[in-house]
Amino acid sequence: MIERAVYRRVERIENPTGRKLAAGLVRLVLENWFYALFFVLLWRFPYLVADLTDSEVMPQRPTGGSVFWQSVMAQTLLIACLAMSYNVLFGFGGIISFGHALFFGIGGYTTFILMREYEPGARWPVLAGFAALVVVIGALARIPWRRLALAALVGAALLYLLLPGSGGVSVYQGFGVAVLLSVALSLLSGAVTLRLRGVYFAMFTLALAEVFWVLAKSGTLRALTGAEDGLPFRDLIPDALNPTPTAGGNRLAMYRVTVIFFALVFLAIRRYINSPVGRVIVAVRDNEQRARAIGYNAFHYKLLTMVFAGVLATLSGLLFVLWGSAKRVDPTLLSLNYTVEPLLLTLIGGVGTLTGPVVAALGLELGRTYLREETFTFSTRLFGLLSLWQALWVAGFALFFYVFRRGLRRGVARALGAGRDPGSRAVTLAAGAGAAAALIVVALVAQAIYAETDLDTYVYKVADLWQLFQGMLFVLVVMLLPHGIVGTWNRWWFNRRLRRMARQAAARAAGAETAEPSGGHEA
Amino acid sequence: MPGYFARLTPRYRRSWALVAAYLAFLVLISLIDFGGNTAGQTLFRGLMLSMLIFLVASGLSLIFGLLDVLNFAQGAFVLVGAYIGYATYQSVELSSTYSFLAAVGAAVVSVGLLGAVIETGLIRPLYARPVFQIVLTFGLGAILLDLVQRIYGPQPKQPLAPPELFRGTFYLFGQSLSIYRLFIIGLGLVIMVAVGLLLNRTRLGIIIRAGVQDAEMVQALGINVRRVFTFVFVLGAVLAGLAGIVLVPYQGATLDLGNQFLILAIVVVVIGGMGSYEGTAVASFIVGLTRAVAEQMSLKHFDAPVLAETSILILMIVVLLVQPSGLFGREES
Repeated sequence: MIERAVYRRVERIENPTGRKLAAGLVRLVLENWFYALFFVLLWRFPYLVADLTDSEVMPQRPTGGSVFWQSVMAQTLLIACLAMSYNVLFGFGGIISFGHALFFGIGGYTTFILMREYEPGARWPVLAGFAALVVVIGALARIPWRRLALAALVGAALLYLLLPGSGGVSVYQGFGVAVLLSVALSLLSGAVTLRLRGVYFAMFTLALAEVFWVLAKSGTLRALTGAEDGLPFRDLIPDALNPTPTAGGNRLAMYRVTVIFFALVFLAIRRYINSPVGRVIVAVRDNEQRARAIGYNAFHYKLLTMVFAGVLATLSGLLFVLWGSAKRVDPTLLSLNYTVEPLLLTLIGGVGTLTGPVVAALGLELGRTYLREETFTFSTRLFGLLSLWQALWVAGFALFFYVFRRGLRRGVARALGAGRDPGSRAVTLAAGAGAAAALIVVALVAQAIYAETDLDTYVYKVADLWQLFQGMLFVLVVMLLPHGIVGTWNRWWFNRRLRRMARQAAARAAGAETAEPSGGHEA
Repeated sequence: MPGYFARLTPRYRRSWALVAAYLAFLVLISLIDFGGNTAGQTLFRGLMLSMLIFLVASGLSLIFGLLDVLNFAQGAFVLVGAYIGYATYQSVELSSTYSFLAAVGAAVVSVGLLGAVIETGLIRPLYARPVFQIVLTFGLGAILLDLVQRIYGPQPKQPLAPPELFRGTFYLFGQSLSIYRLFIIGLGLVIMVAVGLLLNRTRLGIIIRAGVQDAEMVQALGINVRRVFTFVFVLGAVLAGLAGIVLVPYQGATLDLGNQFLILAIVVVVIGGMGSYEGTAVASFIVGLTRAVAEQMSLKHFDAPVLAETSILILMIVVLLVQPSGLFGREES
């Protein structure tokens, strides 16, 4: 006690409050200058584009570069938010979910169905349904009843406040209910299946999301959901939330809201991962049994992570719906597309990195829009030498050699003479030369076959090739870049520092060694 | 067969009883709701669907059981089989029976080669990273879907006439049906038995079953498990491709064929239990019949197929909740 008091006093003398605050601020800026710069860039983005494309930020009619790119950027940022929330699950929590689209799409449907269908008399039935849900969760999840009762009470009170006793539901109340529903759904699906092995969990979430998707696009519920056409909401939202009009600055305001939302999501995720809870979640991902042995209830931490990611996805989905130009809640929001997209972005950016999904989303989504009108000319004559068909044959045989490279080596070793090591350099050289010769022969044969084929030039639109490109990115990233862009960069940077430290340590040791003999001599 | 039932563990016996009760329930409810003839037609359609599902799901289950890879490209194999078979069937100018045989051959060989290349070239380096295999097969599925669309166009292909041999009709449940449907059912049953015999009566089958239990141990016994992995992956792909080409004379080829069958196969594998062959066979019947009955029922009562599409998903969710390892799967530790 006394010691601590003394220490505190000494510390205050050495480091007065003002200086500490200033130092803290300096450190804050120094550590986050990159993020701050990025935020400012995003904030000024409409003006930058306006300058570059010579268009207005708030024109009378919604045309021009700046307005268009505001909408593109906002939607990209929201997709980035979705990817970040998926990364919380997949990268930091180690939970593979194939139903994340459910949380993305459920918000819009909940809000606007409530706004269209809600009657004051429905308040108590909704609360009864909520109570039933709580009972189900409690029965399945084996959560301590006190915690469950507290959560249920808070949830019920919020629901009671959000659902008005008279009149209709406003948009914001609808948003609130949507978030509550997303919490309940993630609790339910998590509680039911988080104890299962990864694959079963993935399948369960897949099935759950598919059920909602099928329901949303089925004609039977057309009156409620609008089926394939989607649920129109143009006259349900106030002007402040409608980014379509540009003259009054609505779109710019919504853009700014989106940027702030993006920043908040990023900060929230960073805070969450660096908090004690987040550290436990990473520990559970790395080794669940070890975390349990230390005494953490891994299941509860995973559940919390699911709820966190689910709520973030719901909020991003709500904003994303508002940005849609058709002003309809589309069933595709619930489809597998919006699960695959964040998964891909997470993988490309780097699983378990904070900035990875954002980098990937900005690169891919903005790139897709930027190149949407570009065409891609595809000539069947490559470099004026080979025709495409020849190249395909050569590539096929090269793949064949690659697949059977071990057998090839063994065969060559046997041919070169008994007792030759299949891994030796002579074998490598001989096999490589043989394969190259074979490829040349294949190319010549292919040229003879396709001599009569006319050489064509195909023109594709980049937008049409996007699906193929995305699938190939999947495979390439998985095979060649398992840590993603940011992950690879981080590792390279870390290794560089490690090497430098090792070099310094070696230099110091060498210095000590040269100094030692003389020192020993003196002694 | 009686010996088989005598040797069962209590849990397996309970599962069999449950399956029998459920199938009886389906038959009963369709008899009550639709009446004799319609019920017969519905169940017959369900039986055919079960066979097709079985062809896709058995591969998925075997691959998952042995390789621990959840193959999301299985649906794409169906698609590739269907379209390549379609193109061959249409372009080969022989008598229709021979060109159908050529189509089956082309579909099976090309899908098998595809499977071999994918397994040896792409999946093999990833055995140490299980999550990435799922992602990889997912991406492969997307690529294959896109390639098929690019090569054969987005329009659905109309069903082609079945080969001469199966062109006749027969009269059943007050409706005349193409013999081709009987052929599908027969083919499914033959393959069900053949693969069952392969697994239970051959040396390779013993190795596969041992590998499902513990692949490392089999490797330690001096067996080249990698080669068996490739064989099983190719077998699974070939069965899926076969399902694709068999579908062509019945309902043509559409681009959503792959995803449709992938979901059905996943449901089957979950219900039957991952890696369990008998479970997959039994669950195929459950899923096929349930889907047919639910479809008929929702057409009758709601005039929209919403029940058909959700019923099997709900069935899967229920099974996952009650018994996550499926009806015949190994218990999770």
